[in-house]
Amino acid sequence: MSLLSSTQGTPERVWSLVSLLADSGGALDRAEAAGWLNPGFTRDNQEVAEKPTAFQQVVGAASSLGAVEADGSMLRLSPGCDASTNAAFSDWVHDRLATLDSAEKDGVVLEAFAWLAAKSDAEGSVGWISQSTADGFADAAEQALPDAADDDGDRRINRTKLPSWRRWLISLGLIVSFPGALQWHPLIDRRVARELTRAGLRQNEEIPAVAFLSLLAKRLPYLDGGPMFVEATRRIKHAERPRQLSPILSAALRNLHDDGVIELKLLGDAADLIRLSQDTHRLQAFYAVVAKSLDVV
Amino acid sequence: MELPLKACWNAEDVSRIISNEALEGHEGVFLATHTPIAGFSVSGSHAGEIEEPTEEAVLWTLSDPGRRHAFCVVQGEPGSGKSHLIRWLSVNWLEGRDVKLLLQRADGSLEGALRQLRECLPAEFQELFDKLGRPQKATAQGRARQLLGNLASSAHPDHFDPPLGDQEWCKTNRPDQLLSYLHLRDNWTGPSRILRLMDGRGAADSDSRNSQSASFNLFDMEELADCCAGIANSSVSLGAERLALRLTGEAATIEDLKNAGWSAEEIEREKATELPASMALMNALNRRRNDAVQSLIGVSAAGLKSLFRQIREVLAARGQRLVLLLEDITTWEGFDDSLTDVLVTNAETRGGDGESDMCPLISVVGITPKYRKDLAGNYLGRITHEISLGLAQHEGDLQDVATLRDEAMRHNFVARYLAAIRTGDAGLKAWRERRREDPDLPPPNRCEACPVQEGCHAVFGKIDGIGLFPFTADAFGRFYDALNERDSGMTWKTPRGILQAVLSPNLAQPQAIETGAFPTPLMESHSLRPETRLLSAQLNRMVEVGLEGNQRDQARMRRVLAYWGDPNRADVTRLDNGQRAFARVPEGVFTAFHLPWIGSDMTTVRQEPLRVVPVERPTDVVPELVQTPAQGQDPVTQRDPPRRPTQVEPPPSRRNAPNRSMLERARDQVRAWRESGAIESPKEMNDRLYEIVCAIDPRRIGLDPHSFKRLFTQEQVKIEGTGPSQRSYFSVTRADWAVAGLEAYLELSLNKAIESGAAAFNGQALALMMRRLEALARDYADRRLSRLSDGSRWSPVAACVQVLLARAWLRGTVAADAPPNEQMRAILSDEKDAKSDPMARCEPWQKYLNITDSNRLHASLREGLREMLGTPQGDSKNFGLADVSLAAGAIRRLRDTLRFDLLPGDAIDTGVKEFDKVREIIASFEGGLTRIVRVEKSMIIQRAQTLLVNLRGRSIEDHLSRIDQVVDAVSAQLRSAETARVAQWKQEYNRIKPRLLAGAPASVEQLLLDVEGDAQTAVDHAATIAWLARAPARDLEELRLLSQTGEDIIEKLLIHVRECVAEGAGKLSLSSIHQLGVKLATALNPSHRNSPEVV
Repeated sequence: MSLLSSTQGTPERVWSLVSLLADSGGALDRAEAAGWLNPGFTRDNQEVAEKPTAFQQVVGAASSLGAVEADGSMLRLSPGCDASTNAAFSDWVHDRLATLDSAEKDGVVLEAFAWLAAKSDAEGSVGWISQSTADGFADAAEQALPDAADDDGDRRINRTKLPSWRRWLISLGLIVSFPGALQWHPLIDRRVARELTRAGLRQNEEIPAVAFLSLLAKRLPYLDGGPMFVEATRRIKHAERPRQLSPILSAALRNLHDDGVIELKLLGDAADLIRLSQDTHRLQAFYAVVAKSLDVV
Repeated sequence: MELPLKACWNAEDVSRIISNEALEGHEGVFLATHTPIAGFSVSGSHAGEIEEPTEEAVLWTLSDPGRRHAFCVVQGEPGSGKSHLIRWLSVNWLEGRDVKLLLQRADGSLEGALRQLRECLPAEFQELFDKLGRPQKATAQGRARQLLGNLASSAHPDHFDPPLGDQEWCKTNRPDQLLSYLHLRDNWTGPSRILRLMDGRGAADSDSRNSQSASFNLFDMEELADCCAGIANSSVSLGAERLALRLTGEAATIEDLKNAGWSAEEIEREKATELPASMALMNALNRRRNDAVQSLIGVSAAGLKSLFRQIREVLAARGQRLVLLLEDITTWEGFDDSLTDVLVTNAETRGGDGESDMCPLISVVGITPKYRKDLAGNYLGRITHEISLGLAQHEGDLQDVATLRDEAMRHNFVARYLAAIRTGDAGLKAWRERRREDPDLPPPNRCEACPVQEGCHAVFGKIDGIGLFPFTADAFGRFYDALNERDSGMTWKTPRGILQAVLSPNLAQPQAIETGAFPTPLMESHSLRPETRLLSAQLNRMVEVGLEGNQRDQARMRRVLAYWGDPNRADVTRLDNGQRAFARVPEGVFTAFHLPWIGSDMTTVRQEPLRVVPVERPTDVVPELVQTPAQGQDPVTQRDPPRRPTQVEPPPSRRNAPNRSMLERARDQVRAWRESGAIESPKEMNDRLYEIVCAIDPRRIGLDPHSFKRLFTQEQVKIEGTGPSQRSYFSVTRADWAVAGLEAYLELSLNKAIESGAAAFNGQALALMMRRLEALARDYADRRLSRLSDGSRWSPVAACVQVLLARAWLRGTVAADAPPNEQMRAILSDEKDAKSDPMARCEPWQKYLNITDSNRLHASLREGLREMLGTPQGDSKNFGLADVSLAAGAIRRLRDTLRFDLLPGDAIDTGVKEFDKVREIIASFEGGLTRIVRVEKSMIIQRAQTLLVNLRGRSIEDHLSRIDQVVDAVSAQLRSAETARVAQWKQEYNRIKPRLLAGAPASVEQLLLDVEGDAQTAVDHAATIAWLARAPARDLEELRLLSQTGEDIIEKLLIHVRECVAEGAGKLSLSSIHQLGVKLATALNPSHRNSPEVV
C-alpha cells in the first residue's frame, strides 16, 4: 500500500498512530492501536465508527513511509522515526521521501512536485496550475513521471490520488490550501527555512549563491538543481535557464528575504549573479546569501 | 504607421462646443452634434397619437396644423436630453404661422425666466408684460430675510382665505412664531438656499442649479431645528416651543441618515412616518413658498395668468396658435403653479358654444422625475403627451437615459462631438451656412484629410470614419461605466454627464498630449466613481516597478490603465487587429501618450482569445437597521452631546446599486484601502479576513479544530483599528501583505477564469498572507491559552480528555483500569446512567460530578472533544479516525497519577467559556483526583469496618435475620417495649429485603473481604479508583445503617428484658429462662439448635 493509494491514511492520522506508538513505548498490539484510533462511540443512540479499512490504510501509509513496522500482531515504531513532535515527524517524512527514487512507489510524492516546479519554470509562472483541471493536471504529471506503477496496479498519480498528494505536500510545508472553493498554491518558504535551519547555517555568515543553491539542491532535490528537478526538466524537455531560478524557488527566497530570514545580497555588476524569475518584486538577482533569523518562519 | 502625438483640436473649441446647456451653442454646433433621441416611452391622455418613440414622430404629432391643444411633458433626469429634444422641436417646428416661444433654462433663475419671456414675446405684447410688476431691489441677505418674513406671516393660522387646509396644525404648533424666533431668523440658511436655487445657482457658487427643485427639504428642517436651541422661555407660545422640541428630536435622526449618505429626498420618501413634525413644517413652508416668492419679487401670479390670457385672445383673433416650449419648469418655481394653470387650459373646452376667446396652446415642458412626482393630481390628469426619456429600475431610483442604453448610440454621440470639436466653432458656422443650401451636407470630419489617420484609427478606432483619438471604444465603455449614477441625488450617466465628465476634462488641455502630461488629473472628478480609478495590486505593482521614481508618469499610467485598459488584468495579449496590448491597452496608446511599455516581453504574449470573466454574485448582506429613538423618549435630551453614534442602514440608492456583487464591492474597498488607508466598511473587510483565517489548518499552529473554532470567532477576527483594542481580538495589522492578500483573495474568488499571470500573482499574495496569518495565529493562540512553565502551550484537548475521563470514572461508566480504547469510547459516547451510586459517595466525589454536570458542561465538552479528536476527510462531517496524539498521553498520565495536567502558572482566562470552566474545575480539585480518592476510600473503609464489627463474624443476611427474630420474640412477650423502635426496624428491614434478595449482601461482603485484606492499598492509582467506583457504596451504607439500627434496638430491648427478669427474680431461675429461650428458638428455626449465643 503506497502513501497515495492509502487515501484514508492522511498525514494527521498517520501522525496519530505514530505518536500513539511513541507514547506506548514504541510498540503496541495492532488491535489495541485500532481501538485507540477507531474507538467507536455512541451519539444520539447511533454507533459512530469507521470501517476497519480506514485503520488499515493508516497502517499501510505509515508502513509505506517506513515509520511503522508490522511485527506479527504488533505494530512497532521504526527506530529512526522521530515522533517527538509533529514538526519533527514532518521533517523525518520529508527526509525519507527526498531519498526515494522512482523505483520506490512513494517517490512519486516529491517527483510530482519536482515536475510542478520544472513546469512552472518552463511556463515562467505558477499561474498555469489554477487553470488546470484535476484530470488535466494528473494526466500531465503522470505523463512527465518516470514509467512505473503504484502497488494498487493503477497509475502513480491520478485524479483520485491528487487530494492525498496535496495533503502530504501541505504537511511538508510545500503548498498552501486556499479558503473555500479556491485552489492551492505552491509556497515552500517554511520548508526552505526549516531545511536551512537543519543544515546548520551559521547566522550572519555570507555564502556564495552557488554554494547556497547547491546546499538547497541536496536537501530539496525537487527544486532547482536537485536530481528530481533535473530529471523532471529532462522529461518535459525544458532547458533550465542558466543562472536563473524557477518561479517557486524565486518566490520563496524573495519572501524569506522580505521576512528577514535570509538576506539576498546584490552587487551591481557581480559576475556570478543568480537571477530570480521575473516578478514585480524589486529584487531580481543575488550573488550571495546571509542567514539572518531562521526561526522566524 | 504614424501615430498622433499631439492633439488635433484646440481648447477654445472644446468649451464652445461642449456647453453645459443644449441651447447655448449656435445652430451649427447643435446640428453637427445632434444625436437622434429615440427609445423613450410615451404616455398621457393622447399618447396613441405618437406612433413611434422617435423625435420625428413627436414633432409631427405636436406641430400638426390641425392640433388645437397639447400639454406635453418631457420627463428626464437633469442632463438626460430634455432641453435638447425641446430645442430640436423648436428648430424643426413645421408650422410657420405659429407663435413659438422657446424659453431656455438659461441661467436657471426665475427672474431670468421672466426676462426671457419678456424678450421672446413679440413687441406688440411688451406692454402687457410691463403690467406684471417690478422686482424689488435688495441684497441677497435682505431677500432671504424678507422671504422668511413672508413665510412666517403666511404660516399664521388665519392668514389664508380660503385656508390651505393645514390651519389646525398651524393653530396648534404656531410655526409663524417659530419662524419669527430671533435666533432662527438670524441663522437659518434655508431661505437663502431657496433663493440661490431660484437665482440659478447650485450648492457652491461655481455650480449650476441643474434642475434642482427650489423647495424646502428635510435637511433644511434639521438645520432649522439647530437654530431653535434656547427657544424655551423665549416669548413664543407653548405650541411653538413644543414644535421646536419635536423638530430637535427628529433632527438627530435626519443627521444620522444624512451622515450615512441618505439624500433629503430618500429620507422624505422612506422615513416620513418617523419625522412627523419635520414633514409637517416642511410641507407647510413649501405650500406657502410661491406666495412668499411672488410677494418678494413683486410679480403676481394673477398678472402672469392675465398676460397669457391676453396674448391668447389676440392670437385667437388672428387665427394663430401659441407654441410654448419650456426647457425646464423648475426655473419657473415660484410661479410654476400659475404657469401650469395657463398651460393646461384648453381653449377648446373653455368656450361655451364651441367658439373660444383664446387661441390654441401647444406646450412642451421639461420636468424632472422628482418634479413630476410632486405635481398635483389635477395637472397630471391633463397631460396629453408624456415623454419619459428614461426609466428607474426601482422605486426611488434615478432614471437612466433610453438613448444611451445602446453602446453604438453612445459611440455615435461621442464621435459627433469629437468631429465637431476638431472642426471648431468657426468651421461649424461655415458648414451651417453651406447646409442651408444643401440640407443633406454631412458635418465636417477632419480625419478625412489627416496625415496620421491610418495609424490613429488603427490604434484608437473610428466610428463612421471619425477617429476616436484620444479615446478608444473600450475607453468610452469604461468611462461610461465609471460615471457616478448616485452623486448627491443625481446621475452622470446622461448625455450631459458624458460631455462634462468624460469629453470635457479629457479634451480641455490638448497641449497635454504633446507635452506628455496626458491624461491629466482633470479627469479624476467626483463624476467618475472613485473605485474605477483603482488598479489591481498586480498592475499597480507593475506600474511602480516599471516607472520607478517617476511619480507623474505613474499617475498618468494608472489613469490610462484604469480607463483605456482593464485594471484587473496585467497580461500582454494580442488584439484582434494584431496589435499587442498590455492590460488591454493597445501599445500604440502608450506611444501616443508618451508613456513607456511596461508589459513583459513578447515571449509571454498569450494568443488565445480573451475570455469573458464570470463574476460571482452572492446575495448582498442584509443591511443593519436604523436605531430610532424609543417612543416616549425626550427628543431634546436625545440630541444632547455626547450622543452615541447610531448605526444607520445604507441609503436606498446604495442598496439598489446595480451590477456590482458584494465581492466586487469588497475588492474595490480593498483597493481604496490600499490607496487611501481608509476602510469604507470595516465589517465587510473583517468578514473577508475571517474567511481567510478559517482556512488555516489548525494543526499547523498546534491547535485542534475545535479550539481553533472557539478562539477564532467571527467577532474576534479584526483588521487593526476597525474595533476597540482588546486582548481577545485576533487583530491583523494593516500591512501591505495583508492588504495584498485580501485583495488577492477577492480577486481569485471573483474571477474563476483568471489569466495565468494574475493567478500567479494573486496566488502568491494570498499564500504569503496565509503563512503570515499562521504565525500570527500561533502567537494569538499562545496568548489566549497561555504557556506552561516549560514553554509549551496549555492544551485544551488534554484538559477536556482528563476532565471527562475523571467524570466517567466517578460515574462508574468506565473503569480506570479498563483498556484505553474503552476509555476513549467512554469519553466520546453520550452518557448513560451512572453505575457508581453517586449519591452514596463522599462530598468531593459528588461535587465533582455535580460541577461537571452544571449547565450540561460535560455534554458541551464531549461535543467539543469529538471535534478536537476527529479527523474527517475533505468536507465530510464524519468523525473519521481519532487523532490521539494528545489524548493518549493525557489518558495515560491521569491513570498513572490521578492528577490532571498542569495549568499555566499565570493563566488568564482563555475567553472560551468551557475551557475556563475546565481550568476552574481542575484548580478547585487541587489539580487531581487524589483528595476525592482519599476521602472516599476512607469513608468506604470506615463504613465497612463498622459493618464488620456489627456483623460479629456472621453473614449479613444471617445477622439481620437474627436481629429480626429477637425483635419479634421480645415484642411478643413484652408488647409495650420500644414499640416505635420496633416499628422502625421492621419498616427498614422490610424495605431492604428486596436488595437482600437481589444479591446486595454478596457484593458488600466481597467489599468487606477487600477491606479486611487491605486489597485496595496494594494496587496502583487506576486500580484504586476503579475499586472505589465499583464498590457498592449505596448497599454498604444502607446495610451499615440497618445494622446500626439493629444494634440500637437490641440494646434498648435488652433493658426491657432485664427489667422483666429482675421483676421475676426468685420465681424462675436464669437457667430455666434460658432453656425456655432455646426451646423457642428451636421451634422457630431448628438450625439454631446448637447456636452458642442466644441472647
